Amino acid sequence: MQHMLGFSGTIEICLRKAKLPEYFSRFRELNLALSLKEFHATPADIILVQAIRAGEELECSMKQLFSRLREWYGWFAPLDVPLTIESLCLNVKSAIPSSQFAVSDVAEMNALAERLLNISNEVSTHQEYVYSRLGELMPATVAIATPRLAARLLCHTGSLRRLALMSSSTIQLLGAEKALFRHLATGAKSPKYGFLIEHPLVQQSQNKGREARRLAGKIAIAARTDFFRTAPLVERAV
Amino acid sequence: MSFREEKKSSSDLLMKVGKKDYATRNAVPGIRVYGEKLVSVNGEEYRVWDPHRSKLAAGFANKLLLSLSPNYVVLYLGASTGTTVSHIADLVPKGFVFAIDSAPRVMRELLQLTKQRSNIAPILANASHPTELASRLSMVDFMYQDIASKDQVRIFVECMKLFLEKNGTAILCLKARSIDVTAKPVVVFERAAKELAAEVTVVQQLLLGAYYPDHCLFVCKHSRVH
Ligand SMILES: C[S@@+](CC[C@H](N)C(=O)[O-])C[C@H]1O[C@@H](n2cnc3c(N)ncnc32)[C@H](O)[C@@H]1O
Repeated sequence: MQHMLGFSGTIEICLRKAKLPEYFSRFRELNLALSLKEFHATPADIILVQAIRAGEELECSMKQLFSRLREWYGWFAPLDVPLTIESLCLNVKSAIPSSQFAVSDVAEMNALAERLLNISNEVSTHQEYVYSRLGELMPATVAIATPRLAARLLCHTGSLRRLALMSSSTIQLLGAEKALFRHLATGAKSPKYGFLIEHPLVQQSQNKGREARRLAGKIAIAARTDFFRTAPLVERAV
Repeated sequence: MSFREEKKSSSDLLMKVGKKDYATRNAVPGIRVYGEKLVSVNGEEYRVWDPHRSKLAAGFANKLLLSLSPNYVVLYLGASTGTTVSHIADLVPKGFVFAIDSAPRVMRELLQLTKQRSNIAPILANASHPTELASRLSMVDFMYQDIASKDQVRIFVECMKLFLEKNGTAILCLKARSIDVTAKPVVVFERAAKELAAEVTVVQQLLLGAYYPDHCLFVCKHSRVH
């Protein structure tokens, strides 16, 4: 990187000796501009982590509100509490006020059902957005790991760069750090997989540890393919 | 010049408030940087410099020998969100602070800080290759480094040689665990002291006590060439 601030040596020394304010305000402006430029060059995968986290938080709110609404509606119709968001909300909306549940009670329960449906929709559209961005940024990893697991891994490592520079044995144990450290500290059984257990291949396998190891190797290669495909030259020279 | 004398001569930019705490005169009155306490002394507003939040403040609480003149130009490596940078900027109202950090996330806060204060230049860059920073800096009177990287001693010495004025002072803040997790802190500090002494003069080596158990400050100067 070569940034010219536009001072020749001798002039610089004079200005510097005099501690001229203009000299430093120029330094400030130019450094500010360069830093902002660098800041805005932050890779998209690092920024996508925020969207992935938002998705996880939306999903978490959805689940919490869903179980709250089931609990609430259960006092209204104990014999018929649906198991899916859609049918629960449908039931809530057709609830008829009774002696125990005033019009205002039912109205409020309705409002919550409405909000829950909105969040549930938001969860789906948000997930579509995240998965399509992931597909653009790390297509190979997504193809091998599934979008959901790819999102988990990116979120956990913080950047595609870090994921790409990890050994496959590290990737195999991402998400199992607690068990790993327990293993190292106390000699307890070593973990065989972390997040990778989410993957259908691992789930269906008789030998989950072996499958996780195999999958981790493939993910490591895929992540490197994705990273080195797009990383700028300087980054590649790490 | 001892710190105490400096206190008088630099028109009380740094004040002792309460028993142990120091505070710096707020260059931007009314504005807090990180939720620190604001106190008024002789009608001037000061920002309390929390030794639990800043290793340099912990240094002062542990008898650090350092004096900063108001017109000093400062290089700060590992500026993070600018907690310590803000206090240093308070101390050099007629000087300037070059604040370097390599993490875009923390640079966000540093950019905010720069908006409020005209004597800070934020530099989003990696300090591992000091020569690459040359075109963005001037020579400085004081250098402070607090980065948790394995080769921090090398970076420190290189930066001193490149950017520190002949009579300047430089402080290295060393965290034992970031150099070697397994070795005892004293051993790591001793090794670092030796490494430093081969290149520069260490004028004070200071543990930060209970504030930062495995940290050590090294106050350094250029070695005189005879
Ligand atoms: C412990 S924090 C410094 C805290 C700060 N000194 C304070 O007291 O407010 C260390 C900072 O060093 C930065 N850092 C680490 N390695 C670096 C490097 N090679 N170049 C520049 N900054 C680095 C990190 O991004 C981090 O923000």
